[in-house]
Amino acid sequence: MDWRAIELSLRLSTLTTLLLLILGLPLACWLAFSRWRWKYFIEAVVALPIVLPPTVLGFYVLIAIGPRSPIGQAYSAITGRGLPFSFQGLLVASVLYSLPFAVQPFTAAISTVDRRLIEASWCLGRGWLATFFRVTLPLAWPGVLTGVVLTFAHTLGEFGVVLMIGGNLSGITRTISISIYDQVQALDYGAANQTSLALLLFSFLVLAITYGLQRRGIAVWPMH
Amino acid sequence: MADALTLHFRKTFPKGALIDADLEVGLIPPTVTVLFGPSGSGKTMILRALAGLERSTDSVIHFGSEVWVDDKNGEFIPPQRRRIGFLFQDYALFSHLTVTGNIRYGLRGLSANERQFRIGQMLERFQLQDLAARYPDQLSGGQKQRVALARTLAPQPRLLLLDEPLSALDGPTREALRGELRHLLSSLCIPVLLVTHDRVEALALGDQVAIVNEGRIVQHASIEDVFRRPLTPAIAKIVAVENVQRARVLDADEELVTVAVGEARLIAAASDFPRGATEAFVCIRAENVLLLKSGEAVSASARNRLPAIVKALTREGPIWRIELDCGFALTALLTRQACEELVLQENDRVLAMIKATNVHLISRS
Repeated sequence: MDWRAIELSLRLSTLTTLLLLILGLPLACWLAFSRWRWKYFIEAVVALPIVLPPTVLGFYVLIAIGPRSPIGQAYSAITGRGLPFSFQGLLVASVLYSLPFAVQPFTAAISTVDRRLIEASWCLGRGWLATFFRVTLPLAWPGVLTGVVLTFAHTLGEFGVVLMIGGNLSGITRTISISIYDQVQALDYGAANQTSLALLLFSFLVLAITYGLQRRGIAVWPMH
Repeated sequence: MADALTLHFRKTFPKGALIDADLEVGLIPPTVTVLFGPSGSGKTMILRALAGLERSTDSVIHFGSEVWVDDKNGEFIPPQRRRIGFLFQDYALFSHLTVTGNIRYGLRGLSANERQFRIGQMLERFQLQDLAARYPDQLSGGQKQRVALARTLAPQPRLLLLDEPLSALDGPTREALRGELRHLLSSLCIPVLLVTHDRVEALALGDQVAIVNEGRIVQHASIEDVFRRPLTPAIAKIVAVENVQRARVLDADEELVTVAVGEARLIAAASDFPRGATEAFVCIRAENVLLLKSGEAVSASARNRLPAIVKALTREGPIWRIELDCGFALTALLTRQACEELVLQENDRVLAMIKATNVHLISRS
């Protein structure tokens, strides 16, 4: 088995999940509470990676972080390196690609929290941040956990976006699914089977645990 | 006024509904003011505006010398900084916290000792000691209400806002807790505003009542006054005055006004009925109509003695509702005992007795 690829995939998934937890929760809160009339545009943007072919997403991200774009230029001016075909570039793409898998369960979970509980917290003198950590999050945690698990599993299995952004550099951008592709290309079916089976079992376990938790807690994974 | 809570709240809704409420409640001495009105009249919205949970573009709220809201000057104090207590209709207890956790939630900026002391005090006051470690879903309706009150009062709010405090309870519990709540509210020494659509609740709990109808406060006075002397027929309907009839003024002097209702004549105390008015509405509460069998010795105290025929008798719990015809339709409420003593039956001839002070006139001109 390609242990470097496995290690890389786990690292990428963990960091993507963490970033989406930090970025996704505020966004989910906004989506759950905002009454802005154009909110559905943002909802559509968040859901886009579900329907978009990974190659399309990957292509635009590649352009956006490339050396000719303001983002790419700013990044290389600060760090002296380019984003494409690097782990950092891969991370940016992964965050975008997994956005709906985090934000949708988060939003659904936060929406189920009774608005009056939040108002009760305000009337008891707690600000919105304290209210979020003491009332909203504890009551929404099964849904937040679902989002975390799905994000992790989804990132672990991504292929198209990685290929577009990261290429195939061992230890830098060669993730587990790219490694399987390589093994099949090299007609090494034994190794491909080993890695695939590991990924299959892992994904199954993750989903089984998620659905098990949902049965005990509140149903939160939205159907789309 | 410096020692008053004043509210001006105006808000339009997309579907055309409008709230346009003005309210002034004295803070010293603290009173219990009931916001009373039909469902959808906007009473809860007014309460939420006082808490800072509802905003509009045209409102002003002063609490004593503090400005809570002044939209013209862009001032808005959020709920967190108003130091109020808000009791939600279904109590809104935090289901992930125990009874103690719920009570502790609003206690901030206190030493651990002080906090512990306050929690103990609240647990004792609301007899929650044995339930301290329970979660809200392990409590009965009445227990939840006590926890919610304890949580609301623990931080020692300066103003207590109660939204239908008894409506989430079942009948017998509600009746038992009504008295307890009244006792609690009068022992608090802070002003209380309470929303209800239940007449019994309003009468049992309030000192003052503000009648809310279609987003406006249409009458605000003592409970006694509003329920006996509604300003308009619409208010009479809201406070459920059983008998409202059109009348013509026949004669009026300083003390008494004589009116004709259908074929009958009624004498009413003049009180503040405008002199010179010719048309009126007559309001008589059914409980103020006394019945005697014709021919019985007549008490001298009631000025109005109307011969009447019993049209229908309906039992309403411990009370009988009696529909009479005395030249106009008149409803009387009698206790079961009084009814039995009279041996009333349909088509009986009786004498309906009404004191002049119990006949309330509303000018129509």
